[in-house]
Amino acid sequence: MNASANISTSAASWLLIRREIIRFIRQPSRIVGTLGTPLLLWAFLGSGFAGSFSSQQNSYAGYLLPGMVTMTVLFGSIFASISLIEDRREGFLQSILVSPLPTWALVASKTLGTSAIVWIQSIILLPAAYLLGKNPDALGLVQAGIVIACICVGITGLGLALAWLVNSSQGFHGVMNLILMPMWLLSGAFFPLSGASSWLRLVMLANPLTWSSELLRVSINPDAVYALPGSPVLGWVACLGFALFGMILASATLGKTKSTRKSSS
Amino acid sequence: MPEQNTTPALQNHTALDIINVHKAYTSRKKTIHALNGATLKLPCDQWAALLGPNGSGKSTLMRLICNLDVPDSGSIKRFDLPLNTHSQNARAMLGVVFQNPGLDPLLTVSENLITQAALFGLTGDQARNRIKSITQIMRIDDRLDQRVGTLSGGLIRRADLARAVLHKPQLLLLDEPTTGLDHESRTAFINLIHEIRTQAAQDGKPIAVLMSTHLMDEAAHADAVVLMHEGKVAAAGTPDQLINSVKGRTLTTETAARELFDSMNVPFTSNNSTLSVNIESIDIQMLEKLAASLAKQGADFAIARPTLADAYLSFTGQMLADNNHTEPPSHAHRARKNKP
Repeated sequence: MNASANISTSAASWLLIRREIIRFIRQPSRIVGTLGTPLLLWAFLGSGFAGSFSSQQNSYAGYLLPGMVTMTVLFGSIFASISLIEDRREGFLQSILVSPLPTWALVASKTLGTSAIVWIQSIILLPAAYLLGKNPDALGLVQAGIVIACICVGITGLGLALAWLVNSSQGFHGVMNLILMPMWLLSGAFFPLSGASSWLRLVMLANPLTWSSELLRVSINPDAVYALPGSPVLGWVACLGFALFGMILASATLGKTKSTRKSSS
Repeated sequence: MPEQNTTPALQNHTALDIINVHKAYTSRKKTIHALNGATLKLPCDQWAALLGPNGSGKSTLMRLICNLDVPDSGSIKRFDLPLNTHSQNARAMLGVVFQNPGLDPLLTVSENLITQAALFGLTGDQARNRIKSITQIMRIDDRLDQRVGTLSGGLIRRADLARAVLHKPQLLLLDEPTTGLDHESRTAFINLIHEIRTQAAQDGKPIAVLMSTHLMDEAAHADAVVLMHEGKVAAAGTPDQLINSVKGRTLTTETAARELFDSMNVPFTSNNSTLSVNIESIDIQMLEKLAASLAKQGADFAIARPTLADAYLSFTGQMLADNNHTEPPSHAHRARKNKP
């Protein structure tokens, strides 16, 4: 046995995905943080605005559900992106970068491993649709699962790329507040596109999360009407495109800049 | 300044061939020339130590050899292959121990090693057998199920060394691998490198080792020592060659005499327990005065053979500095934009 040229990219990638899962399980605070914040916000905002939001078809808590699922994805991806910064600081990442594993496989493993964890956390919220009387059918649930997967991959890819460029967890929190949180706020999670001013409507339409959230809304609520320009096909194109964009952005960023830390001598 | 740009050749094949490498970093309108024409050759069964203080270019050179960064000019070849050869074979020949351990603290030693094995194409029984044998050599086979984050610094370093040599690399790079360890753990780590080399030689697959350090007692274990100064190789040779090139003998005393040396303007080198003065560098009256003052203070002193620190001073005109103290791992980091 010696240095083998024939590494199994799939086996190595699976072990890196497995590592992400083990890390997640061994950090209970991540589970609490990822699920707890959206649940609390949902409870407070849903109850607080219950009397202000009037719709015969929808309660405000029901309106908020897709946004809270997106928020769960957002928080899960943020935690995972911060773990990339830890990997770099602790030297784990460097040991992978000098191995024969292609950089694209590293990025794919990190993105898919994180997305899988966040996806499971997010779909846990879907049964709440039944509690709110939405009663999505099987096809709707499958569609919702696909939409959530796309959001997971898109946001995780974006988060990893930002974490790689920002290079410190403090800096990443700043970027998160500047880019990721506004993306979520302007996704139609709090207020519908139709009620926004014209300039804000343009910003919301440029936000890929708006299209994903709307698809999620119609998937889990059979009575909801698709409320964005064009047909739902356009929404699917935007949703799948966002996932692809996240993967490509992460691969390009991590592949281009392999440097991980300043040398001390 | 005498200059030998290559380490003593022990074999025809070279694990590393570095020719006139330059690397500069620019930040906030300031350019730092980390490497200024470093040249060195490492035969495929040799252990060489890059010895120099912080800022001498050791870690930058290590990063370039790992292909984590690219030189501005010059050439680096590993086993006659240029670094831009991104083949799996070229990468599989390399094992690296970084300043910060490349292990996940949340995973057990076993989980870390299994992951690392897969990165180099070892899976199943092959990986398990290799992990078993290497952890026995490293004497951590009873820690396999323990999370890395719960191990002592010395054990983490041993596990990290096991990770780096798991796939039996032909070139092992050690970038200040004993950072943060006490003297006992450092000695144990150095002994493990000897064992790895012995094992590799017995298997008929010799391993070349390049270790950066600022500790002369560590460097003295290597076959060859490369003195790094301001991004260049100031001198290279066996430890004995370098030490013998220093004229005269050395007065060695305890560190409590530091103030006396300072007050008398005596040039000295130091490590964690001793101060050394090359007696050729001071006149006889000064030596007599120094000896009398030391005796008056009740300090023990002896005239002895020069050390690598004296050789460093001789070749570079600069002290190796207070360098045998242990430092905590640096967590400072900053990204650089590369074009790998």
